[in-house]
Amino acid sequence: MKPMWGYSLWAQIGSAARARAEELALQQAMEASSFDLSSFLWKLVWLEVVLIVFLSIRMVQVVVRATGYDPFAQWDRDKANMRIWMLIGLSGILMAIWSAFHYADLYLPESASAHGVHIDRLRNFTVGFTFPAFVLVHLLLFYMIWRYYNGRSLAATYQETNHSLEKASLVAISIPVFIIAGWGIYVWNLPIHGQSPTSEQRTLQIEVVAEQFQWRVRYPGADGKLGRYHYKLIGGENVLGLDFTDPEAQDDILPSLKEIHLPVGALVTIQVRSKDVLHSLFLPHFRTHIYAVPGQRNQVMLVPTITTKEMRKKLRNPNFDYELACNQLCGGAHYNMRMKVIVETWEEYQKWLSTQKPAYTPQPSITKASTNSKTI
Amino acid sequence: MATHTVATVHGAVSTAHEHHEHHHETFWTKYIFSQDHKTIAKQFLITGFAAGFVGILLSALFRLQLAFPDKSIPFLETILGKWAPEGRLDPNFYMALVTMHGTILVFWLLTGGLSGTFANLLIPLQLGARDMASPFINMLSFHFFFWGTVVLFASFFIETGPAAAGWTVYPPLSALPQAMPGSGLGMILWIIALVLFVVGVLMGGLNYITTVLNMRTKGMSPMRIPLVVWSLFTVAVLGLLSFPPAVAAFLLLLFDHSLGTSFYLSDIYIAGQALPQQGGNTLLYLHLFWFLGHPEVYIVLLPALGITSELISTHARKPIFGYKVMVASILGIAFVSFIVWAHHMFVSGMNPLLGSIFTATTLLVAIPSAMKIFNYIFTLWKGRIHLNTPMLFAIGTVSFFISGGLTGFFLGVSSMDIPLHNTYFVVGHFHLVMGVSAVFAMFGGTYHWFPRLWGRMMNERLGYIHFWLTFVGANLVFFPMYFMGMGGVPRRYYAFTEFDFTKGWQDLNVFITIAALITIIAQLIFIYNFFHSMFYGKPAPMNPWKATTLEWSAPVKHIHGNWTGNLPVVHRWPYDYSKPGAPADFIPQYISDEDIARGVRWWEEDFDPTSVIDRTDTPSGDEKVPTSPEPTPIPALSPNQKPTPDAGYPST
Repeated sequence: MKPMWGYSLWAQIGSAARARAEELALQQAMEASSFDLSSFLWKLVWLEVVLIVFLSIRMVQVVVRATGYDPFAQWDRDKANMRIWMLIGLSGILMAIWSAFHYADLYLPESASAHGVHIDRLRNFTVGFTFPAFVLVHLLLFYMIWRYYNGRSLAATYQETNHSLEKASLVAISIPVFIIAGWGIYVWNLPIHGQSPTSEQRTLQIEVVAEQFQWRVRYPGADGKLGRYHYKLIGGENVLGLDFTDPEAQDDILPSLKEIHLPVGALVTIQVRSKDVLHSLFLPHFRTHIYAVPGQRNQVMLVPTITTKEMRKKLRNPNFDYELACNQLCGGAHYNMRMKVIVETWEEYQKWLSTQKPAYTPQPSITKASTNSKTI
Repeated sequence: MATHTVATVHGAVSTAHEHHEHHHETFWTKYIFSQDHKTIAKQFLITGFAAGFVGILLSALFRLQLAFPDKSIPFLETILGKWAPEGRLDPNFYMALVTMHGTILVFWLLTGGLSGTFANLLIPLQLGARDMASPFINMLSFHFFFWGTVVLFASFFIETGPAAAGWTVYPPLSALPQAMPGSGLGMILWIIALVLFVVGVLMGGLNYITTVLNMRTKGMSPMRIPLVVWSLFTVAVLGLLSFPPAVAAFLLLLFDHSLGTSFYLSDIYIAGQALPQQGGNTLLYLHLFWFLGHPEVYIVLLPALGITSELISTHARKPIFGYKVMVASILGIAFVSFIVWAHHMFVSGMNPLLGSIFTATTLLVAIPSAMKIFNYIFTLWKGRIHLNTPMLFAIGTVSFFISGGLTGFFLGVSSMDIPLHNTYFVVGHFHLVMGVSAVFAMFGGTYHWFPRLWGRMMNERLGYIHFWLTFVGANLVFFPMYFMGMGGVPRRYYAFTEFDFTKGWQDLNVFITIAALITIIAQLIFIYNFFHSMFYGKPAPMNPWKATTLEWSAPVKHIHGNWTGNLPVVHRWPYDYSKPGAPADFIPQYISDEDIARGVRWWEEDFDPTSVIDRTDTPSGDEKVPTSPEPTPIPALSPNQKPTPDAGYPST
């Protein structure tokens, strides 16, 4: 791409306009050389359709004006609109309820992480409050329209306020607010950020790095620790900018396939960073979501509870896979930053890990880069 | 009554009128460089609607892409050229469409268009002022807004295309031309447009605040101000406090973009090279942006709710229920809106403690918002609801506010927000609660105040068709998005074909696109109705809706200075509808009890308000004077008697 600096606004607009003019001239030249009968006929058809619609509206208008006959003159505006409200309002509510169940198959399946269960429980409670509230308040609104439209009600009652009604509404809304806020804060502080492993639990620390437009994952080697990195070391083979003067980095593993393997039941800490722009690590099935911010190392924890195989069985879908998506706009191919996530038993995970190779391959160029890094 | 005698008695207040008579207006001074608040309101309305219509046309383009990601639509190449090679949208241009759609609708239609129109029209007219405090700055406010529009739309015609980093323009994507084409010149134009826009908004806002504080007519005490003016005033204060930080954020972004600073950038390796910037942080931008961004939601919403209050009260012929609660909830929402911004950043990696704090403050907003909803419903209760176009749109606003507002419970709670953040659940939520809901209030306000703006009525029947198509269409477009959100479908995706968990929603997306296209086509009815009624509509009477507020006491034909003689004096609150004992189902604010006793027949078609306003012997303010000794021609009804149905509001 050409650098933007130094381009003036007018030069840009001018060049765009010139390019467009050339394009149009070319198009015209091409069209002139080959007259396309069918496209011409289609244009005629469209023109005719527009004309017919326009003329028929016009004719009705002329007839109405000439004869003075107005078929809608006898309509009771308020009654007609009240009836449409009832029809559309009530069928709309029924449709909302029906489609909530109809699309249930496509909702995210049950949470595959330990903390996600709490989130889902709170979400279900909140749906249990908001959906009935949505229906009831709408029904109340429709009742008012039905009962007090101009026609059934011929005079309004002067009423400035009613303190007990106001107090009742204040209480009615405050109770769910305090319950949901309290519960939500409780769940937020429970397991999501600072969980510590139970005595039996295995722990695993991995790093996921985002860039336009792919994910990379780094596993620690035998030491269980992720080594240092610096963004200025990125280049050539060293896609993550690892500092190979650090022994902890030398055994770090970069899997060859675009997959994340997680052992079931282990406490997994994912460190998230970005090489270029904002991205977001979104693991919908695990109710896990954190931004990847350049220059800042974010961290998120989860305990996978259901292996991919078990989930396939549960959903009766042999092709099911957990997926990692990017969920913060990061450019043109943002929609296509997919990575497969595989949850498996500890043994399977170990077996898979043993087939992967460390990133460190002693090469003169990389050693040179890493010596430079000390001066940074 | 001859205005000259009035002028000698009340010489100080009627200078504007005399000035008007000797003033020669050319096309330029009348329509372009007008300093008259009513003309400026028209300018804002037309510019806002024009920009808004372009905005929803953009949504038609990207909805087509979402519904038919694999199909080639040659028509797109015809109109978009290189942005849709072989009839398929370019992914980068898709992002540009989404970005411009958001920017145009949030800022241009629902901030500039909505507040600009109704604040300019209603603040002086409803408060009984001759014009804004500074008509010249008011004119400049529109011109900055207009040139901002021009710059924004110019970015469609540059080689690299308009800004494409989302309407929130998060850096580093927006700050690095290497990251996407839209972040080149398009981004610079976006920032220039926004700065021009904000300057316009601030000039307008200063004027609104000054006018409300200083230029209310005699008797217009704070508790007699109509709710729409309360909300427009509060919004002006909100804008004054929240837009400057946003301008700072945008300017720092411009420095990062073009001058190589590192306010928001750090540790970036892009397009094969490591950038020198270190030490900045993107989250700083997020904080600054959302410090505007969240109050902005209420800058959009509060005028909409204020308009709804007026419409519901007027057309249900009943005082607004709980006026003081309504004022308190406007102020409460405005205050709380400043301490909730970080709920847009729950998963950004900020300190988790903030997640708890902002959950608590965010859910507090639910309380005043719900009080407003309950009060609207209680206003309809025992009313006499005239289901004309403005009322239909007002009820539509309430309905959308319920459907959209309730899902705020999910997004405002940090823990539930984790799986829902940036999914279609969010898209459905904000489109319903602040998008469609505010647009409906704006439509309702336009139908209601069109006779005040152009002296003609809009066509009612076209209004019904427009309302029902838009109401059904908008519900069909945005309600299903909640279900997509439950499926975790991320927003700002060019296609849903790449992930297993999003593939299943393809059919629903086709449905949404068809509904969206029908809704967009339905807006043509409104456009036709708007421009046709402007020239050929039924001439409007002075007070077509039999409303109580002062704007309906000024002459239908616009004059500079609003009232021919005296300024009206206010004797009552703005919601005296169906008052027991009154001879009609409304009592305008300028009618005093003495006027009622004297037998003024204000509900009749040919009633001339100047006969009350310009009376030299009328009491000013609330002071008591002895009532006229003559017997009243029409006796006031006894308190228990109901007004006759046909007195006042037109029955058809």
